[in-house]
Amino acid sequence: MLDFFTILSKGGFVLWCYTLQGVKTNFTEPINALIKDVILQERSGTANFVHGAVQMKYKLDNEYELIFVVGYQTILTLSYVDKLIDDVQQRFRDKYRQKLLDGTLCLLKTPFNCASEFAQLLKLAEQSQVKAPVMKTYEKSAKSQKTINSLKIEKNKKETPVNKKSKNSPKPGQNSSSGKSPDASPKPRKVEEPSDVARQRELFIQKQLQARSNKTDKKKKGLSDKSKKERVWDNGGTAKDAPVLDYSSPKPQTNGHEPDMELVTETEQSWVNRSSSIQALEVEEVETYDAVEVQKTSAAESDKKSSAGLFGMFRSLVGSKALTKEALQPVLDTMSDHLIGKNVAADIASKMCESVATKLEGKVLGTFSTIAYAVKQSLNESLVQILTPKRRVDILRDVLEAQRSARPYVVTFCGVNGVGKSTNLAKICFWLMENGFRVMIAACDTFRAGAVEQLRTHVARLNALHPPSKNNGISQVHLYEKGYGKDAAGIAMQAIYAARDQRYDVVLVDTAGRMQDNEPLMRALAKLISVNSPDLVLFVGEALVGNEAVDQLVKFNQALADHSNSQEPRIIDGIVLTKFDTIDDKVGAAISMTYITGQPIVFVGIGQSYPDLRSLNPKAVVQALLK
Amino acid sequence: MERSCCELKLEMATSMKYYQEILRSFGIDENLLPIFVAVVVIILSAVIWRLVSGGKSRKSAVLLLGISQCGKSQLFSFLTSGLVKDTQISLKENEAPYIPNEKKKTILTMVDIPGQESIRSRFFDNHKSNALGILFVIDSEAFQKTIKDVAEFLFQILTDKTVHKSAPTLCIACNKQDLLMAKSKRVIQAQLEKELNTVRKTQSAALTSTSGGGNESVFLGEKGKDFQFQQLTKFKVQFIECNVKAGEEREINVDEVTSWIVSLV
Repeated sequence: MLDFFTILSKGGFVLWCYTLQGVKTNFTEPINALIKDVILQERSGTANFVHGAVQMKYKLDNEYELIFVVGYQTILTLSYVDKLIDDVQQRFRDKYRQKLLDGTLCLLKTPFNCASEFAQLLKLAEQSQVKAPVMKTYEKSAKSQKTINSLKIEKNKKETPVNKKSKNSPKPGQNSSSGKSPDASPKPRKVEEPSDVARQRELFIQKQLQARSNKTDKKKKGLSDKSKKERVWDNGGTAKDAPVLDYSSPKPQTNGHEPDMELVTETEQSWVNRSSSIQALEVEEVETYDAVEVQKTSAAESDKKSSAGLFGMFRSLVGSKALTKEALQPVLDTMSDHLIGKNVAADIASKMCESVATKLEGKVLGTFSTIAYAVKQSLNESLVQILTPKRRVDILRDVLEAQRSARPYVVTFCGVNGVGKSTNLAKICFWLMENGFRVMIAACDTFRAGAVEQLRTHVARLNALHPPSKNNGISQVHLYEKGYGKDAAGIAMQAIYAARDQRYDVVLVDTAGRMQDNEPLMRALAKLISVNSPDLVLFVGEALVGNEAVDQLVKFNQALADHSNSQEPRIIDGIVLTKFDTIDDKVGAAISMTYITGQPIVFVGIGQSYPDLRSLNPKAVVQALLK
Repeated sequence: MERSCCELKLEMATSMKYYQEILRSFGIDENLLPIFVAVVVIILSAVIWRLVSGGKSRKSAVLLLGISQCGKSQLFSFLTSGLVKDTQISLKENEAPYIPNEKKKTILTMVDIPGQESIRSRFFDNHKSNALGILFVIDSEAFQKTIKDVAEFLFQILTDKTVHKSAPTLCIACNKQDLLMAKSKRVIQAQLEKELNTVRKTQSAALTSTSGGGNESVFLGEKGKDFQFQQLTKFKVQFIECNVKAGEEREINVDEVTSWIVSLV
């Protein structure tokens, strides 16, 4: 059923793999896709990934730096996979514990083989899968266990509600009629009816009497309860427990050390249970303290145990403790809150924390490091990883490439209203001109009044900064405009053709701002992009945005994918983050945007003038974020 | 006991007087003596610390660098353990000791840095100061497709300030020579030089980053000339060919790599 099951080291070596019936299927590519798209993108919260027809589940073992990946056909629904991974992980760890700790060289040299164990586990898992849907036989059901007596009791119980119903009626005279009501009993039983009715009546009267006496009792009790009573504490124990809890006199050692040890572990356990409600960090401390105490007492008791006890004591002091999810949770919660405070979208923050949790779970902490420190460190790494582009971002290089093949490099800007599309387009235009490229701006905002005029002003200013007289009389920037109310896609296309003819290097397409929910406008944008297939689709977003960033980007991407006719629709492949100077250290929007799209932030706008354009420094942003 | 103690005190007092006289003869005020002593102690301890720590952290790492899926981990596995392993994308670095020469008994650390763009800089930063040699691996078959990425990464390494300071020996290994369409090292060198020239141009025009920190890179090659590897005075760059998998007419061949590593020691 499974296509493959692989055990990898985090360094990238395949330690052991199982393939269906020994067929050497190519699992390298799907696993690489999994690593690239899920693990490296910090989407580890969801342990499920579909690549082509293969569905994969994976688990990270952070203590031994392993990855377990299982792949099967998407059409199959295998419920046992999770358990199988856990079982195999446990078995593998137990078998190769020593080898796994011995470093990479040992990892490479050891011939890992757990085929027989795996076959056994797989068989077990598959059997459990087959068993599940089988129906229970009658003998197995709970109903068959009931005796006739129990059924009778059931009947009596059933009848009491009927009585209760009649209790609601105000007049006692109506009671008799309840027995005669058609739903009370079927006709063949009519012979018994009189006695039945009589019995019920008796019951009812008794009950009513009881109820009354109860009421009076309660009243009486209410009066009598006013007197003070000794309070009983839940966990306080009574005088009976005193001899057990009394440790003052040494216990007679009748059965050697065994019972004494048991007692100690019991008390320890009661400590642990009680302290579980306190914050996890403290629990950790309490536990280690207890362990030391226990080891001390046992060390005093016997020499043989003392050596093990001392060793255990040192171990507990050194604190080689694997992190658990429970211990991580409170720290992660505060981290999540902190991120949200820094303007990271709420669900992105929680997803990040989940991912960090899976990355840290099972990891063994060093002696002097706290959980908070480990979490912060790991989060720092993850955030830098997200902000670092996963592919090469070198627009100038790509423009040169386009120049060589004698075609213009086309960049489309899109985004919601008022985020600074035109302003940043002008800044990017200035940057390109500084690098000696000729730029054509296509005014495809044919909707907002003054949009074309705004660009015209920019072009005039840019031309003044780079006068044609300096470049052999050739103007370095040109505005391609066709007025208002026309089809934007058509204008963009004409602009690109004109740029090709007139040997412009770059075409910057300015589109109208649109809200992500405005369907006709989104459709128009998708058309513009699919018709002209630009080299770069930049989403312009402002750094002020919080939770809205998620919605904007998701819907823009969705619209571009939905309304495109091509097989592989173009979606956003870069982000311009604007108004970055206005947000101080609340730089969360950068994280939200890159996390959703997985695309790099290409430009950052930090002011009003032309040179106020920067590239993003991931480390600085993350530092501001975790401050 | 007491007497010896007194003698010691006396001796110290006389020696103190002696030192004070010396100081006076140099024209230094005797009140400055403690300061003088403190300065001497600080300098001495600094020198000792330098010697001790310098002896410990002598560069001993050979870094395996390169873009993703060019065969770093496989080369690493073959060099350190003599086995060819199946590999996937690495998430963290691999480290193993490597003894290049049985006689000399120097132990190098072989470090395989992941090639994925989003994580490689982190691991590279951790190890770059300790690099004795850098083995830059290139996929010779897919070179034409990946040349831009290769050139960008190589540019980053060559212009890095820390790398310039530690000045490791650089070796560019044209891997996967067993494949039919693999480019030879000569072609790769020529194309890389051309591409690095372009990258130099575009990178110098790139925008400054948001933090506003100084540009932490060194100019590559000589100004006003097209880039060539010979212009690198700090590094010795060497091109070699290798393949870790056996091809149709080629055996596994990493001889040049091992001889390069031997030359490092």
